Amino acid sequence: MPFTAVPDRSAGYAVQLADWNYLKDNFNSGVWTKYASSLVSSPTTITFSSIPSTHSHLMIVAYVRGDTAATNTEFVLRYNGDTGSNYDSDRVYSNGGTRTHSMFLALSSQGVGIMPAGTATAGLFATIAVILPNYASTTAQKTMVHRFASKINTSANGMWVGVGGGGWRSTAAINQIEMRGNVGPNLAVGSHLSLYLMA
Amino acid sequence: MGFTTVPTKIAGDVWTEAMWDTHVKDNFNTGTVVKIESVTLTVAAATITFAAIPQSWTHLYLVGFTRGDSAVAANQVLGNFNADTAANYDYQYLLGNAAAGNQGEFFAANQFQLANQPAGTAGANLFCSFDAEIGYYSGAANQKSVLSRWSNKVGTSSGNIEVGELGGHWRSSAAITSLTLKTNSGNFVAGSYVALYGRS
Repeated sequence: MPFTAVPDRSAGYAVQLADWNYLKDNFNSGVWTKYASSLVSSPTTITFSSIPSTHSHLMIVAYVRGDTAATNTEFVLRYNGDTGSNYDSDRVYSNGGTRTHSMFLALSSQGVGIMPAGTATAGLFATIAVILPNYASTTAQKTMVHRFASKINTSANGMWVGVGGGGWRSTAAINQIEMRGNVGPNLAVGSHLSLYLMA
Repeated sequence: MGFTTVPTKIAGDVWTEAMWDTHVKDNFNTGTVVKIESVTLTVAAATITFAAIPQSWTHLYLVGFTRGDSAVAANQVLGNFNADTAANYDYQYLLGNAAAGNQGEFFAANQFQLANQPAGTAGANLFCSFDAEIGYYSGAANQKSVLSRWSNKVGTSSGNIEVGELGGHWRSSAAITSLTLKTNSGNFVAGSYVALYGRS
């Protein structure tokens, strides 16, 4: 149900059941809401479970860094605990003065952006945004779009920015998302991840 | 705290403090996405500033619809956090224009770039659209990063439309309390509109 404009009331008006329904219906199915967020306080992967199939789309906003001993690693997603070779992704990105297009097929997780990791300059985190349209469908394979901005130091070629898409070879409704490093796989302390339900 | 589903009530139910706190107060304050402030320019202005940004949200989201007035076809939308105009910003861009791509990096700049926008000699009534995610803006332990994208049209000839992505980075771990937008030359024109949202 889309958002319904809330009507004006006059002074002295006694709140009715219908007024509560404006609140209920608009909050539950008319606006974006936060399903969960997590601030990493010790290195770990993050999983948001029991995602309801009540909304149209999902959005992830992540401020992340990996803790593996490398300058960077890929921030990846897994849906519904699927570790099979069922993920594809495609991306165009720039790093310094170089522009690259890459495609990955049949991977065991969904890459959604490059993030700094353990040997990057301290205090650096990537910002990554992912949208998963029609995540609750049980008839269509899932697709996603992602964007990322990442920095590992202040030397030449120390930054990336990119945009891409991808898919999960499954028609199951997404009810769980694991977020992790492709290598490691833990996320570093200070990473902050949020999952939103889009009405 | 995430959003709490609002339950059905029946005729005769009475509003309680708990209902208000859980389903109205907490959902608005910590369960959804809200507009913090928006600015529509009625006269040209050199800057647009969001000051005293509340620290109660997780991430910030910015949407802009702008145009500059300097006598060029296009110029840049730039930003500073917390009025810091020292050489503390780094950014990387990626863009497509007609059939060509371009990319590049800047270190130790005095601001970060958010977008390109049409300016004084662009076609009349053309404005750019851009948005930006600012991750964990209220954190005080780590440096900040910004992810923006834009679409810009300055005319109807080949090469007059571009789309791009920018990754900006501020060399500061301070919580972001203000954001100032400016151009690299001239003003934003009247009709420019920018809105800042808080993502719980």
